[in-house]
Amino acid sequence: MNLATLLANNVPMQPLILSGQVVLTSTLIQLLLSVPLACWLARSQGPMNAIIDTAVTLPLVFPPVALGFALLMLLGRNGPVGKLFGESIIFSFPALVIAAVIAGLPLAVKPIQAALRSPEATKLTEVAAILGKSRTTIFLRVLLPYAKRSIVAGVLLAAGRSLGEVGMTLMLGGNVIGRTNTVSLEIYNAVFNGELEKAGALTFLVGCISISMFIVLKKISDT
Amino acid sequence: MALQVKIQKQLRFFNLEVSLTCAPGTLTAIVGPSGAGKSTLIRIISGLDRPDSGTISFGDKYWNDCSMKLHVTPQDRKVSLVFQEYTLFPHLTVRQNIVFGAKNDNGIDELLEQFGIIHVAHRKPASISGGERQRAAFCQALARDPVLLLLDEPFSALDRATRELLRKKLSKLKQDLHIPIVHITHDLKEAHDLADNIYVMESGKASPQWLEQYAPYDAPPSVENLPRKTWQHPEAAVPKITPLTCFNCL
Repeated sequence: MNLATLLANNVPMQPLILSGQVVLTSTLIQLLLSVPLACWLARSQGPMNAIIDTAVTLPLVFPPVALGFALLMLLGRNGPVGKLFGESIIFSFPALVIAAVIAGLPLAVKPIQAALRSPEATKLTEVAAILGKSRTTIFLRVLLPYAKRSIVAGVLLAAGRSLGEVGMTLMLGGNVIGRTNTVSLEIYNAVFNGELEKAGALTFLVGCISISMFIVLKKISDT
Repeated sequence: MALQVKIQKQLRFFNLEVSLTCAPGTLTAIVGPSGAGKSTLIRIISGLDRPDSGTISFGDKYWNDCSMKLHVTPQDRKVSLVFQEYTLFPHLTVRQNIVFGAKNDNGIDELLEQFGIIHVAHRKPASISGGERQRAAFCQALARDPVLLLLDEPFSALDRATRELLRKKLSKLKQDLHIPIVHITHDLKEAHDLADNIYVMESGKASPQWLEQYAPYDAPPSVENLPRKTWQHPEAAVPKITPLTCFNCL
């Protein structure tokens, strides 16, 4: 059996499409959130900065399943945030996106924050201020172009993390077959059901996507 | 219009206390060892830092008046500052860097020509030499048409030929621009060659030492090479000092 036949026979389209949709939506949200958030974290000080910084970084060090459980309690029908929405968002597409955004956000924010906090960025900001440029101009014409590579690299890393997210996705999405079973969860399901060929084919596909992302990242860092 | 500075700022290891005046068309050099507070002073004059107390005025305008909590931002001071390290925007070409600080792009090519970097106008800073980058930084500073030019050791990382070229340019600029220029340097000879007034600074204190005191003697190459233990605060030394002992004590 050749590779094409193996993939055609064993790769279900629904988890692939669902994962694609989750990664695209979460990446867009991460892009919109990460740049202003990183800029604010890099420039501000004080207790609020420390609280937000900790909250953004937490998914890097907190076990995903535990974080997923905490979010389940928070966003569930009887949770303090869940009550605000009439219909439960748990076990639905938005829940998968929330899990992916939270998992990937620190990977998007941290490189941008580090770039904007670097001595060179500070110096360029000062030079632009002395040259008479407003804060908005400095942000748009100096800091954004300066951090461009970090933004692309961070968002790519976050997208990769979102694709591979399992713990929080399992808790918030519930692994409902046909509705919330992403590619990563489908690999888990396949192994659980003894369908090793299917698990292998899906792993091969996810591996190809991840390696492509790594190649793009490497090209960005080399330029 | 003259720059007048009379400020005080508590730094980590000492109290920065400076009183100086710089008239239009003159170059004031501030010399002193590393950590004397020279760069902090330049940052305060440019508006990047704030003093704890005192005033900075330019002509009849106050840029800082701590008693009134007045602080004019760097954007509104119309000063130019050339740093020791190259501070061009890496994503812009040399020409774009210079236009960035200017009102319009009139006269940019003449400026590039004058500083001998027209051939690299369309290249990014990373692909040109250190000397060319610093010349571009000078062009950027001048394109803003500043009322005050601040130089924070701009020649220290340059090769001898470029340093000499830029020193000559600076001497000419002093006459042509007729604005106050404050120049920070480690190099006493450089201060001696370029400045009308030299302020010697150590541990945050500055006081004027007139160029005539140095003139008949060869200046030592660097303040840092001189024995620190014999350093005397110039405030005490100026009234009595002879030129020779002045250099010895430095």
